[in-house]
Amino acid sequence: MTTGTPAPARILYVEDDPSIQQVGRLSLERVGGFTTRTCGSGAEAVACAPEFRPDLVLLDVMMPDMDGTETLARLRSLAGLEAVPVIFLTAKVQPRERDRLLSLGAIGVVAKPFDPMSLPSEIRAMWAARAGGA
Amino acid sequence: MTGDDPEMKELARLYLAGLPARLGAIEKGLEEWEGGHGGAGALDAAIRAAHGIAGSAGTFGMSELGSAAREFEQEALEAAQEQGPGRLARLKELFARMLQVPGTPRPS
Repeated sequence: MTTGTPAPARILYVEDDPSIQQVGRLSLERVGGFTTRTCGSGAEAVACAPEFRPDLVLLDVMMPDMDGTETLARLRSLAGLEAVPVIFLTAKVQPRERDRLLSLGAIGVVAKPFDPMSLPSEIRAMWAARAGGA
Repeated sequence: MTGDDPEMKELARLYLAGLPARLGAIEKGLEEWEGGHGGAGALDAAIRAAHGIAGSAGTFGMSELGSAAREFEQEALEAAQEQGPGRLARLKELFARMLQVPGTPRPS
């Protein structure tokens, strides 16, 4: 993990909706230039995160079985990932929900639907704000 | 990558091809909820499908459908909490509004 760097290089992207997952991956890799690992569930993310060693986790909130908040808790229980930065993706954009997600330690919340052209710049802005506030 | 990107175009095509099933899940959930089959779970399926459309349609240039789906989802969440008179009619109305959005396919 490379916290403190100007931008994340490796993003673990967790999204259960295949259509959105594919667009998100394209956006992150081709627009953003990130190295990306995509996972279709929280359980898959927990399984592959230790080996992938992400700089950042981009995490959908509403997923069946293991939702985003539970996935975050499990990821942070893994050795080396205790402080991994997380950005949540959510279609619930009410301020109260956003505040709740930030209170869990996320560095940002991206509203769905997202624009694939601007998603990487949103991520970089959140990363920079976090670094500036650290 | 732009909307003209061949891969993006293909993803948009696939998304559109999958929309009838998503809309069908809402329709089926409403029917089951109305008929008393499936209980609250029936409405949960409709809520999940609407939530998915609300969070994705705009990414594929169908913002109006996404907004209509969000309105349906919100009403359905309230209906799941408190099933008052007129809830079903309101949900049907909101679902019909989704289907009226130009470019929206029929449910399957």
